Amino acid sequence: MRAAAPGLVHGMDEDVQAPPTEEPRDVPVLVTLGNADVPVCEDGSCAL
Amino acid sequence: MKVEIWSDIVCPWCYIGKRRFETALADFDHPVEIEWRSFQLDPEFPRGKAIPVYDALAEKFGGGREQVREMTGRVKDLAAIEGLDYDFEHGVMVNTFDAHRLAHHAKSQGLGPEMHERLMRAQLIEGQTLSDVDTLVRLAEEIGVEGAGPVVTSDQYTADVDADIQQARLLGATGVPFFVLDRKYGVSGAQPAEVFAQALRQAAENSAA
Repeated sequence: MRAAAPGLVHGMDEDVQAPPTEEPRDVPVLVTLGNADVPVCEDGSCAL
Repeated sequence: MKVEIWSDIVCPWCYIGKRRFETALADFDHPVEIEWRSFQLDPEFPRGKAIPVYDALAEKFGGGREQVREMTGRVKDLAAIEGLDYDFEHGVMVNTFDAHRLAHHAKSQGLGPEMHERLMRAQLIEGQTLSDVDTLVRLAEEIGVEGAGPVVTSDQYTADVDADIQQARLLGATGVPFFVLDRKYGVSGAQPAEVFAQALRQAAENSAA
């Protein structure tokens, strides 16, 4: 299972990550839902 | 409830994710405001350049056209299940920044969702060239967006596109599609419709609590 991205908290393991200190205070820390292994496109390419 | 969706127009999983989310939304009984937000998968792709998708993929991953065709077969099959007839054979890779600026212009006229749908269809199904000014203007006019020409040929809405991309990064998105429900829950990727349905229910319950 892919780890939750920075700024995200996975809803299942409650592994809270504090946002970096340089981030604005109004940026929420999201609870991630769903499967971690579904296809996404990132960094210029897609899981084909 | 508000759902923000970060997406890039050239992203095949984004269109599939859009359809699956819409399937979940169709059975959801609460009012939902949808806001499409910009994301660029390849901001370094030269603006003005337009090359066949297969050539772009072959350059990125190596191999020939036949190998690329095999690579894209799975996503094409999954898209078909959602009623999307992807045409990578005639697809054209471009920098999507201008298309995103146009989408923000459409949003200012209350036509953001319609513009995203039209642009994704043009890119992934119809093989249209979204770096072409006339094409972008025509697509905007088709859905009733006014004043597209001056937007496409200028740098209007540049700050809005940049702000969306920055917001995505701050929220922890590393890829798209990326769905944010009430700025509380994040759902990444082309999840099954039932996962979107569960996320919608959870967000609704949280907001009612």
